[in-house]
Amino acid sequence: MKDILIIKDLNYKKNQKTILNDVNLNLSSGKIVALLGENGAGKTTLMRLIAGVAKNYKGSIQVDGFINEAQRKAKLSFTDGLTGFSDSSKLKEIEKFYATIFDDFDENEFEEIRKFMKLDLEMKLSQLSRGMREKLIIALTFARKADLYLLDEPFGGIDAMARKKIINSIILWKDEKSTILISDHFVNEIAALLDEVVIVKDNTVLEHKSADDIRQTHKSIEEYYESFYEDEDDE
Amino acid sequence: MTSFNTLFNRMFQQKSKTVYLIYLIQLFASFCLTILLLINSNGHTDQIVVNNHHESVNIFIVFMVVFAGIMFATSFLANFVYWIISAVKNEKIVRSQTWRLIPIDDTKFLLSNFTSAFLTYVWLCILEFLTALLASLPILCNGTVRDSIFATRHQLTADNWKQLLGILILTFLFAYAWYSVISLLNLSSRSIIDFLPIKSSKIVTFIIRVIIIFIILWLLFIVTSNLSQAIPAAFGIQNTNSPNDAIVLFLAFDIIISLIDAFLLSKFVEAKQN
Repeated sequence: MKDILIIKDLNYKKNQKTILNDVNLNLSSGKIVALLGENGAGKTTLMRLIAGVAKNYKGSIQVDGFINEAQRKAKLSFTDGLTGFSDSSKLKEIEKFYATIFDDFDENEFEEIRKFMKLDLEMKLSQLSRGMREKLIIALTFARKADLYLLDEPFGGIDAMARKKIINSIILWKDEKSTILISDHFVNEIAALLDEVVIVKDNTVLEHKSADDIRQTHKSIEEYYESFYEDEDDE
Repeated sequence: MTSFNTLFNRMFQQKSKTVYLIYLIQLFASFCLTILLLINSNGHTDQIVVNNHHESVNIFIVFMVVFAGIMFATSFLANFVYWIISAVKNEKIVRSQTWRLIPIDDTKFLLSNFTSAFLTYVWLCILEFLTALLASLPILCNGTVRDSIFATRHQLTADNWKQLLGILILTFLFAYAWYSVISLLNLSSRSIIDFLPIKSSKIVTFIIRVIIIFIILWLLFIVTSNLSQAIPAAFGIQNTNSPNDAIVLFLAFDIIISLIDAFLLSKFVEAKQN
């Protein structure tokens, strides 16, 4: 299986502060990978660097063999906060924007996910609750037929019932060969989906293991994740 | 990958919303001002002067002529407002993650941003011109007025047309310079702020922007001191200098600033985090 994402010796500083230090990471096609770490560990920054919206880094990032940022962006779909739209934008306008701009945007797929999420195209962004906005972001992200999906805390405002439904459906929305990198605090809820787990700690990728290996050696993925912070809790 | 045309069309559509809003406000304001003006004219509105001849016209024609005049007069303010708003919008787009996730080369992204802002400005001018023209149609039906306009047009020489073309090109280059200089201010200050050991605060941002404004003004002073000789030549006031000097200088200025903008955007300036 080929590697869809290859990160080599990635270093990133902002305001002279090291955010990511010597990050190396390879992800294979078709996997669902959790990116776990505490707040401020650098998960979002790592995703933004992969997506080409954070700049001035050292090292190399390849998505499906492409280093060039524009080509990388064409290969991946990143959960965006939709800050480029005014609050008065209707959902149908946002859909039109995506359909025009992204070659790989599948309007039928969007329609299907939108109905599943119970989103009304006539609604304006300002009328959406936080949870509904998150649902729209997920629908837009998965409506693209990308090789790599970057989901940055996608379930933050979504209620538990809907969250479970969405998590169970994710596997249906992605192509067999596409990879999902997902950062989330609801580790237990996404655990069943996962093929691999990446732990980000101390400004770097500390561990990258298969979920099956973790299940063999630990009670759960959450317990495995928490074991990285046990020492800190004791202090 | 997204093509330049696709991105340009989206940006043009987005920015034309501002144009329509400004145009509608201008239309409404001109309409109200025309009514006010006619009410305050104490009924002396039934005559116009063309080539020293007093022509009697009806109130509708006078209303339309005054309206056209006010549309023309208010266009300066409307255009100024548009330039400010569009420059702010341009910079919001540059920092927006939604827009920056679009798979297109950063230089093309920047070029599309500037040109779409300028062409929506041209669209505003066209709307204003067409409105003024439509409002002037009744008076243009008057034979004396029409003859007077045609006589003026026949007096234009080839040199006049050349000067007109020169002015048009200069307007384009000036508009481009406006957007690229504003971007330079935003992108360079953003790049510097991200390098500083302290996180950006309003006061730090303000100080950096003031310093950059001074540097840009100094650069502009150097360019304009050269232009001060070349621009009169472009208008045919002096014959000693080449009339194309202003255009060449402005073009060089635009290219240099755009290259710096593109470099800053592709290497340093990040999209704003959600």
